[in-house]
Amino acid sequence: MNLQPVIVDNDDILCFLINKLLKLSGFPSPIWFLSGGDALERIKKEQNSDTTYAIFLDINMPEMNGWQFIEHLESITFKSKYFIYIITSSVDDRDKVKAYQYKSVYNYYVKPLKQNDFELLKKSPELRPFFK
Amino acid sequence: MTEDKTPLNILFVEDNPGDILLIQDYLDEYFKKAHIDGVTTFAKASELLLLSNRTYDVILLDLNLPDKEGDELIKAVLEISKNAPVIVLTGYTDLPFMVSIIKKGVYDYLLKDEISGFSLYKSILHNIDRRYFREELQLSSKRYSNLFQLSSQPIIVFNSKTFAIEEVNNAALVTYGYTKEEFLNLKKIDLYYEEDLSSFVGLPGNKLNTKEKSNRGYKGVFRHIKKNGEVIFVEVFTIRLGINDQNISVVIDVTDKLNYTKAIENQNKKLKEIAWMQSHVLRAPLARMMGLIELIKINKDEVSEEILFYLEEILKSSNEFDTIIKEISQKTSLIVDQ
Repeated sequence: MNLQPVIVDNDDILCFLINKLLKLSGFPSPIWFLSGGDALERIKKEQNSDTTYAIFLDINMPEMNGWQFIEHLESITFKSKYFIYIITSSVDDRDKVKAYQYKSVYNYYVKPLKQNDFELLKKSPELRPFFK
Repeated sequence: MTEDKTPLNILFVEDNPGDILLIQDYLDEYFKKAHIDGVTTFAKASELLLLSNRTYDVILLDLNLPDKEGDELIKAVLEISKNAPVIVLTGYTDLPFMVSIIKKGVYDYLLKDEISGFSLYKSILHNIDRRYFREELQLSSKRYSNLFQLSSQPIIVFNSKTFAIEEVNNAALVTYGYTKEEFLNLKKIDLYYEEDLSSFVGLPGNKLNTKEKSNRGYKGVFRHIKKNGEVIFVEVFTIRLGINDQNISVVIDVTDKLNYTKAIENQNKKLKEIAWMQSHVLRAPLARMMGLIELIKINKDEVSEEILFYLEEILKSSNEFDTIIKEISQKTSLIVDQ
């Protein structure tokens, strides 16, 4: 049973930031993608029942946006489990409401994230088992 | 014996001594408190009517006076009567003539041979009453005419069966650009934009679904065409008058209102785009910057105190900037939601 953090954000600086904060908070080494399409392809290819993906997902991206990514992911069956955490710069409350309508969305963060956000996340019911 | 209690002012114009005596007698009997001015010529009568301060409630007028008579006399008296009812006293039974003078405005005529005290009394009181009814009617008809003509909204009266336009007010002439004569040669449906005619109530085979219909009438928004071909948007309220199959339509030109609404809708669309940009695009680079500063602060042992102070200040400014963006974003989304 292992946890694989995945960062999906078209902004490479933000990928770098989240990557850094995850590492500082004691998460396993994340993999990151600048497009939702690339991330999907990788997850599809490397799925197995032992891996759980924690996906940190931006909403506003060119080509495939965050919503389309979730819909795509939810439409196919995986061996791997996955939790989605929305990470957005949007302060529009309607985005938040929309996010929680997806069953695989577990939390919603407005950028910038702080190290403390990830410390708290480690204690969430879905991720706690990975950090004993 | 009936006695009149209200003091009336009566002008009695008669030159025949016998008739003067007779009528004066009747008046004295029935109008005990009345003030009666008796004169024998038109000249004296007009002097009283024009120069004295007295207003007369009724004028009793003999048709043959030494200085004026017949038609000419009546015309002259009516001109100066100041709306006092004129009752003609005559010895002749010329019925067509009597009818003709009634049409000109005389209130009543009495045949001298048949006058009794009571019939004179009755005629006087009755015609004083009639005068007030007549004036009220004139006033009310003038009021309605004013409502119609002075209305700033075009009003069109048309036949509900043939759609022939029967009357229009000045505002209709101004709005549509037709002269009154041209208007009266049009049918109401000629005003409509052709495509809208399918929803025109009253045409065979049409349903009323585009209109609000009530017992008293109906209304709807249509396109009308002016004489110069220009199309205007109008809200039309139509009411059945209940007289001679007449319907009356009040027209409100809503072209400007609709254009204005469209402009606002376009602005709202742009505002929506701006709200989206505020919340998704504008904030992204700021969030990135704030994230980076936070990261440096995590490794604060590696930077000097001075640099740390600068960073703290940059972070403060960024937070202020962030608050402003959030406020703008909230406000724009509130406006858009309305």
